[in-house]
Order: sequence, then C-alpha cells, then structure tokens
Amino acid sequence: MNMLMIELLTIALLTALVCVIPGVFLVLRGVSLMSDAISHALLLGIVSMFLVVRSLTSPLLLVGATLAGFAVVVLTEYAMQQFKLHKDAAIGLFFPFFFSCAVILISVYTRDVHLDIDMVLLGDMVFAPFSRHSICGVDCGPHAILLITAMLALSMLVVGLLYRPLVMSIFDPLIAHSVTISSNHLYYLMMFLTSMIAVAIFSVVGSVVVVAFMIVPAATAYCTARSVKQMLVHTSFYSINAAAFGYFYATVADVSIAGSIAAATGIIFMLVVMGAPQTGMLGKLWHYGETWLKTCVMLVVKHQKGKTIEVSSLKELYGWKRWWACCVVYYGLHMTKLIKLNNKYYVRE
Amino acid sequence: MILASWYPFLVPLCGVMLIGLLTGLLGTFAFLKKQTMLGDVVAHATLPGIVMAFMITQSVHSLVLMTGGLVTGLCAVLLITFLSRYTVLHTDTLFGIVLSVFFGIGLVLLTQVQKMPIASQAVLNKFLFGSAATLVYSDLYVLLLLTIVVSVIVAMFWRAFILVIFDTDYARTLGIPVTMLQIVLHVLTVTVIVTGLYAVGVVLMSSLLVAPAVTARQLTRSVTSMIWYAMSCSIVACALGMSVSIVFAHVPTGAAIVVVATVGAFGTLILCRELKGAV
Amino acid sequence: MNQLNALIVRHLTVMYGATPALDDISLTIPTGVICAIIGPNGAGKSTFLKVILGLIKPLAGTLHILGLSPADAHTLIAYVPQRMSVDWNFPISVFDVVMMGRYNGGWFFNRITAQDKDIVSDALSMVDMLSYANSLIGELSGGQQQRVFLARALAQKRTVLILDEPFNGVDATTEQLVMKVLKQLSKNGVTTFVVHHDMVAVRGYADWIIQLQTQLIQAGPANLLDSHLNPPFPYRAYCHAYAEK
Repeated sequence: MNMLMIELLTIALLTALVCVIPGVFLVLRGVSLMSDAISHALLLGIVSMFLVVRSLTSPLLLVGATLAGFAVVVLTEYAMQQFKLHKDAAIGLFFPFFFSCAVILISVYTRDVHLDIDMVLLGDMVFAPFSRHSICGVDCGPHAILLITAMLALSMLVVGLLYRPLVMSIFDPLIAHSVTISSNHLYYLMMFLTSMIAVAIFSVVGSVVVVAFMIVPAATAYCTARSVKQMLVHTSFYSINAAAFGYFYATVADVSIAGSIAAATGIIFMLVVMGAPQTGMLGKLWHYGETWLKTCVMLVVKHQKGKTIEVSSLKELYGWKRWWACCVVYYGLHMTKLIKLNNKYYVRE
Repeated sequence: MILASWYPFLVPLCGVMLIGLLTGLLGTFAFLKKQTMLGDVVAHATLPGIVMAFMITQSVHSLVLMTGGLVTGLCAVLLITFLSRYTVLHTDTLFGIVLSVFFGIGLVLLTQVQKMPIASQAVLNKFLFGSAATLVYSDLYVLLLLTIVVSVIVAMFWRAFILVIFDTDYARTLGIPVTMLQIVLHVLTVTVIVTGLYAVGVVLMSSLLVAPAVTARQLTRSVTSMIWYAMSCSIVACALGMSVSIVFAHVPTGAAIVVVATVGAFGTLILCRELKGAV
Repeated sequence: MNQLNALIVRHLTVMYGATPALDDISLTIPTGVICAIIGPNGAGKSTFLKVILGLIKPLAGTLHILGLSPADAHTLIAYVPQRMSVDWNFPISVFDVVMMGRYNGGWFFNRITAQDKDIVSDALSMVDMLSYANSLIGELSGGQQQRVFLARALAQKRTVLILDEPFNGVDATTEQLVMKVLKQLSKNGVTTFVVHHDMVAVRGYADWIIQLQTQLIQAGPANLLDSHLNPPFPYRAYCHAYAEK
C-alpha cells in the first residue's frame, strides 16, 4: 500500500461519508431524484463561469456550479407550487434543460478547450491525487481531500446545530410551522448544502454516481433503522463498507473506482433488504410462514376436536391446497397440538 | 432511395419525428401514472446492457446493442416493481437506486471494455448524446415498424389502459388482467426509451417523456386529446430541434430538441396560468 | 324465493404479514338485502370486502357469492371503492368515469355503443349528477365524487353491489341520496354490502348487520340486533359481546 493508494482510499471513504447527510435528508424527504437533477444541472454553472473567467482552475467554477444546482431545485419547487405539477414531472422537466444548455454552450464556444463532457459524466477519482493544494510551498494533499473534508465538517455543523428543527420539518411541515420553524427555509438550506457537496465530489465521481453515493446507503438504512439518529449511523456504516469494498475491487480489477463503489452500494442494498434478520425479506417471510402455520393449526384445533383429521376434508373446509394442508398437519404434530394414532390424525386432548 | 441522397437530412428528420411520436404517446401514460422519471431510470439502466452486448458479440451494430439495453432496461423495471411491493421505500427512492447502481455497473463494465483494443469511446458518446444525425434508412424501417406495433397495441387496449391507470383495484374487479397490461405498458415504454436513446441520448430522455405530456396536460381536459396533443408537441419539438441543429452546425441535436421541448412546456405552463388568472 | 344465498362465509381467516386481519369468520347473508358491515378502525372491514372482490386471498376459509368463488363472481359484482383510492386530478370527465362501468372486457378495439351512453345517462340521473356530465372530476366536491363512483357501479347493472365507506366525508344531501338509491336497488333484488363506521346511522337503511372486530361479533337481521347497536356504553357492550363469544 503506497501513499497514492492510501490517498485514493481516503478520498473514497471521505466521499462516501460526506454523502451521508444529504442522502438521509433526500430519502426522508422523498426527493431522492433531486440529487440526479443537481448533479446534471451543475455542468451549466461550470460552463457559464468558465466562459466568464476563461480559466479551468478558478474556484469561481465551483461557485457557479453550486448556484446552478441550487437554481434547478428552486425552479423545480416553483413549478410544483405555482403550476401544481407533480414532483416527478417537475424534476424531470428542468434539469435536462440545464444540461442541454451546458452541452450546447460547450459545443459552440469551447471546442478548442479541454472541457470533456465524458469526464463530467464519468469522472473518476483516479485523477484526483494529481491536483494538489499547497500553502506556502508545503504540500497539503490533494484538493479533493481538503474540499471534501471541509464539506463534511460544514454539513455536520449544520445538522448538529439544527437537528431537531430539521427532523420536525421533514416529518410534518405544518407542525414545524406552528412552532415557528420555517420548513421552507430549512429545506432550501439543506438543498444548498446538497448542491455544495455534489459539486465537491463531482470531480471525483462524476454526475450519476453522485446519486448512488447519496441515495443507496440512505435507502438501505431506511429499511433497517428505527430512528433518524440510527439512520445516520447505519447509512455511514453502509457507505464506508461500500467505499472500501468498491475501492479494493476497482484496484484489483483495474476498473472505474466510482462505478465499483456505486455497484457495491447496490449489492449491499440487496443483501440487507433480502437478508437483514428482522426487517429483511427472507427474515419476514420465515416469520410470516411460521405465524401462518400456527394460525392454521389453531383453527384446526378449534374445529376438529374429537374428529378424524383428513387432508381432503381440510382442503374442502378451509379451501387449502393439498400441500399446504399437509404442512399444517405436520406443523400441528410438531407443535404437539395434533397426534397420530393408528395412522390417523387427531387433535390432542 | 434517391430522395434520401438528395436531402441528406430527411431520413434523420423522419426518424427523430417518429421517436417524438412514440415518446409523446408513452410519456403521457407515464405522466398519468406519475412515473415520468422512469424514462431517466431506464435510460441509465441500459448502459450495462449495451456494454455487455458489445462484450459478448464484439459488434457495434445498433440492433445488437439496443437488444442488450432492452434486456437490462426491462430488468430494471421488474426490479423496481418487485422492490416497491416488498419494501417500504418510496417509488422515487427506488428509481434513484436502480438508476445509479445499474449505471455504476455499466461504468465498471465500460472501463473493463476500454482496456480492450477495440475503440469503445464512440459507443459511449452515441449512448450519452444520441446520434440522430447518423440515422440511416434501415433504422427508419425499424422505427416505422415499432411505431405501427405500439400504435396498434395502444389502440386495442386503449380503454383498458386508462382504466388500469386511473383506478387499478376497480379495473381488477371488472375482470381486466391488470398485471398483464401493466407489464405490456412497461415493455412498450422500455422499448420506446431504448429506441429514443438513439436520437437524444441518455441524459435527455426524461425530457422527451415529460415535456410533451406536461404541455398537453395544460391544453386539454380529456385523456384522449391529451395523447394527441402530446404526440404533436413532441413531433414539433423534435422537428424544430433537429432543424436548429442542422442550421447551426455545432449544436447537438439532442440538446436542441430538449431545449425546444422544455421552453415550449414552460411557456405553455405560464401562458395557461395567465389565461386562467385572467378569466 | 332465491335458492342461493348472496354470501356464504366459512372460517374466513386473513393475515396481513404476521397480524390477523380476520379471524375465523363464518356467516350467511341472503339476497336482496342491504347489509352494513360495521366495526372500529382496523377491524378488518375493508379486508373483508377485498376478499369478496377477489383482491386478497385468505389464509384459510371459503367464501361464496351467489354460489361462486370470488374469482368467478366478478361478473356479478359492482364495486364502489373509497374515494381516496383515485387521483382526482386525472383529466377525465364525469361521463367518461361512469362509462368505465360499461367496459365489458372486449379485447379488440372496445367500442362504446349508443346503449352504453343511455345507461350512463340513466345512472347519472339516478344520482342527480346528469348536469355535471361534462365536468372534470377534479372540479367536484367530496359528495359529488362519491355519487359519480356510485353511478359507475350502477351503470354496471349487477346483482351485488359493494360500497367501501361511501359515507365518509360527504354532505347530508349525498348521504340521503345514496341511502335512497340503495333502498331502491334492494327492492329490485340487488344485494348491497356497505362498510360504514357509524353504528348509529346504519339503522337508517340497513336490513342486515355484520359487526366485525377481527373476529365476528355478530351477524344477523338489523331488527334482531338492535339492542346491541346503540347501547349507552358502547365499549362495555363490545367487551360483553367479545366475552360471550
């Protein structure tokens, strides 16, 4: 493990962590696709700023990107309120427009400059360690690490200060309003934060994978957590695991790191959703199956006291299929509510 | 044949307009079901399919790649249906998950492929931004066939589709095979989206499904006329966008179409609100 | 005198996941009556309806409507769902909604005939909504929406009618109108099942009562059950009924 790999791993982990807070907020608020919208819209900000300052390294590009991302959110909310558009239609209407404008500007005005759209959509963190930041000639590490750490600190500060108002405003904006919390302002604040974070990790992971980093671990936690605090913890756990496994796979197989981490979040999601002990699908199925069998056995016990139990009569009386009736009988024997005498089944007295 | 060589843009124009017709039609259904972002999701979900089709067959023939995209697109939709029934997650969260994870897998496969000696950059660009200008005669046949098939199916099951979308439980009590019809609608939508990727590319696909439907909804009070309006607006937007991109040589077709469609939708929204306010 | 009973239920048990929704329900309801299904929230009333309609498969038990299983009986039943189940911003007119009731399942370019249009108009005038025939459903009040749903079911011209909470959030006029329509239908031999949460109001129109609370509290003709329905202490009465079972 050389320095480069350690730096890359740090970037991967930090990126995953910084996406936890916006991800949890977006999933709880039910606007997950806004992350997709923001990450596409910010290209317009980058291009517009670039045309103004004519430099690829100016920090104004990041400012422009954040503003563009925020603008698409504002525009979408405006459309939802003013024109009574549904959430999904509103989101899908504006961000392609922003992206298309950016593509047109790039194609028309910047043909001679290396503003590669491919990198925009597919960006990879492999290149991140090579743009470094130095203060007074001392190497402080890659740009990405500093920027993302700053964003992480900022988001933790915001959530730390505003935790209770935020939680209230997510669940019931009207109640929040009645205790003079403006859920609208909080919403826009969180969206601005999300936009900033999307911009910060944008150069590292590219547009669409931002959505994976933000949404998938939070959605996984949504299925398993029982409180917002728990959800934040679970999301961080899933996020970090996805980042670590994704990174190592990408290093071994020599493929896109961002893509691998996105795929890893998905794999973790499916594993948790299917296999989590109490909340996972398989666990629930097992639990349900047991309860159903028990209920059916009690039904038989209630009505068949003193009579011979036959599968065919059970089929007729309760409308069961043959295999299920057999399962019920066997489970009844297992529960010792039924007994077998002389090759016939009876309710145990 | 002669016509196509005289007017080099006639074929792409017709192709794009046919795609507009199809997306206008199915976009209306998606809008009514409140699943407009499905276009975006399916469009992104086709990447792994396209790359895998390339990896398996080593050919960049459009039909091959589209079939691959179709397969993963359908898997994506099936997965969303499955997850929405058995988990507590909202539809749009599921959309986000499937969209990004499938795309991530596609990225991994793509970077795998890029190490191979065959140039795949062209594939990627085609996928991302569409290649309307390079539509050929044979593509036109495919599009025409698709349009006919889709139109016939929609006309046959028109009332049933509306019923299923409007009131699913009631439709079941009428004896309508709701699940089957939902699957048919999904298959049609995915097929149209995969085909439309060809004209405008991934990122802009959701716009072609949303904008005409939004415009049409403002203009009319009935579902039937909404469909006709959506198809017309879509065709007009595609034709105009294509013309713009022909006239201004460096403007990409897909982007031009999206800008025209969105401006049209937004303009209609504002106009109708003003008119309603005035009345 | 009909040979078949409208509804025969034996040992009906339904579970939502691990929680019981209906527990060993057995009852018989004759044809031509208005049967109200009452009980508190979460008692399983809507679940019971859904089993009748074939939308839910029970864990155990059999249910027959006019001698047929739910899967086969859908041609005999007209359903009026809860108003919340629908998107009222859908771009569709009142007339077209009621026309949905005339959908006969034909697969090939299902046409609307002149007879269909007449039936729809009749159904609309029965519920006093003919003047609204061309209005968008989003422009209607709660009571008017309910009436449109009822008209849709009437247009189907079936022998069994099922209404899920039709009196929820509707005005008094609509309430009276619906009760009048139900009584009219009952005279014509239509069997009606109505889910209603108001134990007192059901006495105004119901011939038979089914009282559910996951288990069956009681089921029978309304006049025989009267004393249990409006007791001075409803909760105590429930406990008594529960204990007696």
